[in-house]
Amino acid sequence: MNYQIAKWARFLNIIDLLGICFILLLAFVLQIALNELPCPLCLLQRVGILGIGFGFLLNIHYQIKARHYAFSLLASIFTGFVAMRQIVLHIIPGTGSYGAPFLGLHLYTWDFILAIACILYTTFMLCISGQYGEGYIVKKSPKWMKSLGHFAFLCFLAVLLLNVISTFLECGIKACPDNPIMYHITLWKVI
Amino acid sequence: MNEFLVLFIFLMIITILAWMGRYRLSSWLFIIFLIAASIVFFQQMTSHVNIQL
Repeated sequence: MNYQIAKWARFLNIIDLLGICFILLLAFVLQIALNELPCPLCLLQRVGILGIGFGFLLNIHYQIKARHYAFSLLASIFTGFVAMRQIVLHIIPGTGSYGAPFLGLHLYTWDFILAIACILYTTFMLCISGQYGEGYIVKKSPKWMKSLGHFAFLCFLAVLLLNVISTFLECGIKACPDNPIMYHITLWKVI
Repeated sequence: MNEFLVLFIFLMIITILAWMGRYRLSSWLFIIFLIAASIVFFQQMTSHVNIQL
């Protein structure tokens, strides 16, 4: 185990988690700005992306382990399958699409690209042997990195909470409609 | 039942447990979470064939 490699691998994990939070926040911005409600498969893709973040979260809070990368890898494969399923639904010309495109591609296509990128990245990170080992203790890391780790955790938790609230407002406690057009619960009704 | 809400809340609980130091429990619960998410995905694949078309 190399202390410097472990330190920078941990830093990369923090950046990855913040990146995951940023992507999901971007999805929220588009949801609110364009008034596009996430479909069931879109919600499942969000579940998968959050699952990817959980593996990184374990690497940040505990020692870096291959098992944590495996969690992210499994969640990436899951996200890729869900995104691919949605691409396949609209693959035949004339079958339409779901939502407005973002930078020329639909969000589910971006999600598929993200999943493939995560699979490649996590596999690469998994191969760096210097980051593993019993000797490295998280407490040894610099203070700024600990603070950044806590910040990343809070961001992740906030994004999760936002998803809980958004899904509840969209569908309530009943099953989500296949093609949602309006919120099940509107805030002005609650207030 | 809103299965997505259940998945999000479940992951939130797992995340809090992991941050509180319940490493083993959260790891096992995450595996259960992935299995549950896969079941929801298969259910979506089979029961909503013409979804979003």
